[in-house]
Amino acid sequence: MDFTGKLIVERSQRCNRSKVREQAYICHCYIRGDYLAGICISDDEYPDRVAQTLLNNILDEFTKEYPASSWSSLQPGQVQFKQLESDLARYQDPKQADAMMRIQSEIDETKGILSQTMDSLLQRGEKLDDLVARSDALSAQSKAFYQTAKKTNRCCTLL
Amino acid sequence: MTASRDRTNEFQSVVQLMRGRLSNGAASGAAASASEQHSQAKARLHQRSQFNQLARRVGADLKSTCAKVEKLALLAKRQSLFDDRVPEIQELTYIVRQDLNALNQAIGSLQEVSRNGQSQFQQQQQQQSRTHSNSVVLALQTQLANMSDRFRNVLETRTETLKQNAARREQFSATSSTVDLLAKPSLLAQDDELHRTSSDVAIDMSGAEANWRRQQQALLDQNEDYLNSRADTMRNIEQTMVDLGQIFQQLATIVREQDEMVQRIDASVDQTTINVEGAHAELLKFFKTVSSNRRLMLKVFGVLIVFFVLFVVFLS
Repeated sequence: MDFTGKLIVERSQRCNRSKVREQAYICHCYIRGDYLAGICISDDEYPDRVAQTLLNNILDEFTKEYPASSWSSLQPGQVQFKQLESDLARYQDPKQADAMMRIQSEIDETKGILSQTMDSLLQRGEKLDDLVARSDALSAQSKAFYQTAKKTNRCCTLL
Repeated sequence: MTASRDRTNEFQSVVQLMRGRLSNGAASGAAASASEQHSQAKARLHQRSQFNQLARRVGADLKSTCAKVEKLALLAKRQSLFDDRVPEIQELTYIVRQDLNALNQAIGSLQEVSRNGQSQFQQQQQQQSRTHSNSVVLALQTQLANMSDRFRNVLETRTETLKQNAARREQFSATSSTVDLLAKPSLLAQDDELHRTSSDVAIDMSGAEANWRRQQQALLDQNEDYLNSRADTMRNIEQTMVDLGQIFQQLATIVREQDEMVQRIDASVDQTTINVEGAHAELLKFFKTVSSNRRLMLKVFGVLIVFFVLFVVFLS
């Protein structure tokens, strides 16, 4: 894995992002303007954009922890970079780690919920229509009942 | 025999003129005439027409490049978040840069031609034509300088719009995309350097530099793929959000309509309650009347007694 990584970095150019297929895996490579390179090995289905974003973040964090001036004095294998592990663990699920994909999935969920709401709202509308009709009929009948009762009371004088 | 005029000289000068116009750059004109003055005049004309044609060509190229710069300015101004015409703009930028290089070289060669042409001849007679060619070259150079200035402004406006777009994208996403701005300003800075030096004097662009800049262009394109995919995703998200907004709007409208229906139902039911209450009261009154009216009882018994009496009277 190290060897492949080094080979790809040597072949790539500065300020460049590239994607190399290696047997069953894809190796995303990003070389920054100040010659700091990052490699991310993933399988076929991992979205490219998320891999490049991950590389961006890791390179930034690396630069924050080890400023550019100290690069020539670092020994490979000696460098402690704890954030790498936590980042890798987080990015295992691209949908959760990448903000854009997360937002996309949440929005899709919201859209589904909203369409359900629309359906139930339309049903509610139908029921309300039904209720309106029935209450109108009820009111008319009760009025008739009242008239009849009044009439009954009035003509008691006959008898 | 009529007196004839010797117009050989005029004829020969006309021939030289035509030959000079036809065979520009060919050395065959020099072999035709023997006299020194004729060859000088012919060579002079030859040089002049060459110079003029070159200047004309440079002017035409300048005009077309100017039109391209204007188109580029229009495209760069109209950049919006949705209407990205990035490949067109890049192509155009590349073409304009090539044209500027070519124009630089052409103006340089023009200067050379005018300088070489003058050195062979008698200086006094060429004073006017020399100043004329110098002023022509100067005019072309100033036009080229103006155009490269405009080109630089266009590139600056383009970075401005790109920065604004990036800022707007940042508002929608949490990740900051600062990397995409790094590559572009560097390319523009180089452009600035180049155009600043070239606007004063016509310099000769080396082929290696043009190649290197073409490479930078290619690298920028590869970077653009990643950025384009991000831009696409962001566009989708924005579109979905707009759709969601519309759905909410429709939801609100429907709920408002249903509110009216609910109020109607409420009014009807209230009316029904009132009617039923009234009818109930009437019935109670009636029942009271029927059950506790002494008058009524008297009336009923009176009627019974009357019938009884009648019955008895009829029987007896």
